[in-house]
Amino acid sequence: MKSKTKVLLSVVLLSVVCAFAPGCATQPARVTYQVSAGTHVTVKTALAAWDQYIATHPVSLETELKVKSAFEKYKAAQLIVLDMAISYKRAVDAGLENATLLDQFTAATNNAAQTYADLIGLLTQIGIKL
Amino acid sequence: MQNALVQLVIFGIQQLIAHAPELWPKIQAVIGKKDVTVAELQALRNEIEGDTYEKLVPHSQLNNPVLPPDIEPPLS
Repeated sequence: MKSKTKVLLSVVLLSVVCAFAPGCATQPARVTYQVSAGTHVTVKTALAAWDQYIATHPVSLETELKVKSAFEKYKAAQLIVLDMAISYKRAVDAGLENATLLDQFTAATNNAAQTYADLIGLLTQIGIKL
Repeated sequence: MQNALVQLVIFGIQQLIAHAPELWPKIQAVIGKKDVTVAELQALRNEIEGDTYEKLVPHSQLNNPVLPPDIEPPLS
C-alpha cells in the first residue's frame, strides 16, 4: 500500500475509533451527518442512472417495485439513524451521555449501511452501471 | 487482522506527530473541525424525507400508470 494511502487510511481509522470512543462523544453525530449526506448523494446518483435505464429499456413492474421497496427500506433506515443522531446530540449537549443510546445508535447505523448496500447491490445486479 | 489494524492506527499517530502541519487539512476533511448541530442534522433529515422514489425516478411507470381503455356505454 502506498504510504500516502496508508496515512489517509489510518487517519480515517482514527476518526472512526474516535467517533465511538468515550470522550469523543460529539463525533458519532458528526460522522453520521457526513456518512448520511454522502450516502444520499450516491443513492440519488444511482437512481438517476436507474431512471435513464428505465427510459430506454423495458422493465417489468415487478423489478421496478423491488427497486422502489429497496429504496424505501434504505430511506426509512436513514431517517431512523438521523433521528437517533439528533437525540444523541441533544443528550450530549445536555451533558447526558448514555451508553445504551450509543449502542442503539450503532445498531441503527449498521442497519442503515446494510439497506444502502442492498439497494446498490440490487441496481448493480439489474445491470445499472454505477 | 486486529494486530494489523492496531499497527495501522499506531502508524497513523506517528505520522500525525511527524507531519501534523501537512496532514491537518486532510484530517479536518475527514474528522471535521466543527461539530454538527441539531439544526444541520434536522435539515438533512428533512431533505431525505422529501426525496420520494417517484420524484427521483420521473420515468417510473409508477408515475405513469397504463390506464385501462374507456369502456364504451352500451347502445340504448
